[in-house]
Amino acid sequence: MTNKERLKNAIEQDINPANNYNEIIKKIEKERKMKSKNNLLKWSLVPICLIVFISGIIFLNYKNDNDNLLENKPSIDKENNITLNINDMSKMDMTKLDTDIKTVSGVNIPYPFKVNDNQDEKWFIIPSDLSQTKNYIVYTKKDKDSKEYDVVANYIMLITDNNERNIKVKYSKDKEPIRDYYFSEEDSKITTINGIDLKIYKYGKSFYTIFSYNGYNFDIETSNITEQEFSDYLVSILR
Amino acid sequence: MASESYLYKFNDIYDKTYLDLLKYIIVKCHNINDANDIIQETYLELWNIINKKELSDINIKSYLIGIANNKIKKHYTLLQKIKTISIFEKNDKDIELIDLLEDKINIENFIIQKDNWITIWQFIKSQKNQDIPKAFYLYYKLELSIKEIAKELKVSESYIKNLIYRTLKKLQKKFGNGGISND
Repeated sequence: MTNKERLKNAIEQDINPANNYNEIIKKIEKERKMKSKNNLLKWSLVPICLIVFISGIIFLNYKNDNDNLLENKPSIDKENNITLNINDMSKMDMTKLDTDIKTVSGVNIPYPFKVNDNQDEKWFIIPSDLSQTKNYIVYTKKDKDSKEYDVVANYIMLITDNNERNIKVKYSKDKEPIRDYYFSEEDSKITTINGIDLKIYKYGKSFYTIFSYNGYNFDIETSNITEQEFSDYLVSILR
Repeated sequence: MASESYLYKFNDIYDKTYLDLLKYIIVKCHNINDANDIIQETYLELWNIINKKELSDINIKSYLIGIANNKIKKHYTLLQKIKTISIFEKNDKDIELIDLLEDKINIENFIIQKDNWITIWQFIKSQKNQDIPKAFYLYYKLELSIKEIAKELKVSESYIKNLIYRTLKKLQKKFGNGGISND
């Protein structure tokens, strides 16, 4: 073999059509696999997105249902003899009423709760920022024609932070406190605290409860008070 | 496996165009070591194209050269292009004597005894002036004449003779002592 043939062979071994062809086919196969993987990923994204979307809807529905359930589900504290049921007032029909009343502030009003004989300061559990208590008497007329507001309708004890948070305790001895709205209490779930039945409602950031205790009829409304604060307060007054 | 009909078409094009395309790439590339990569990339793109559209009414060789041209441009960054610019004298000032040589340079006249010509080819490819391996490929592999090589590389015939003659002398010096490299 001549030098020329040897050099030619060496070049052919290095730059070889068969080797290049095999490399091209390998790359084609590799690209095809990559594409099919990408296609698989691309097309699998559609059902995955669909599953995520459906799961999201199911989850949200479940959560909403669960939230409703939690609100409606009784919270039972056997130790303190409490079965707490909160009715969602937003799902109820409410009617605004025109009331003809006169409210007098800064007056002495009867105290409706049982008093702690031991003078324990923690007898009533009130949020510490609600440091102000204001008293009111609500008067109505004897009849429509009367000009005088001389009939005591109910008393109001307003426990407040002088801002947005307050507990308004309305109570009356012989009849229910005057309300300026009406809603049907039918089918409302009952809360029991220390053997006393209450109807508790929630509307936005407000709670509302109706019950009779110690010879009085109570309507208690709250504003910006948490459920825990509200239930702690109720438990502390209903002894 | 790739689609049979496309593969048949691809194989046919490959067989008919490989040598011409390789010659074009060897001539145009900045480093002969990249020739395999560039030719593979070119045919790979052709494969992707023939899978997408019909190429029946075109001059496939010209079409491939167009693809190869783009691949060569993409293959080299500006820095790489600057690095591979030859600093070898391409004019004919110092090669008058060589120019008197016959067009047919006989490699057999050089006593190169090393058996491993793959190593020798690697040495040729490793030369900074990449016109050297190009000229060797065109002259010894494709068996083009000095005139044809000069035309392909757009240089003078004397320059090509000079490259081959001087490189053979270098090979003789490096590999001609009984097969033992002078490294």
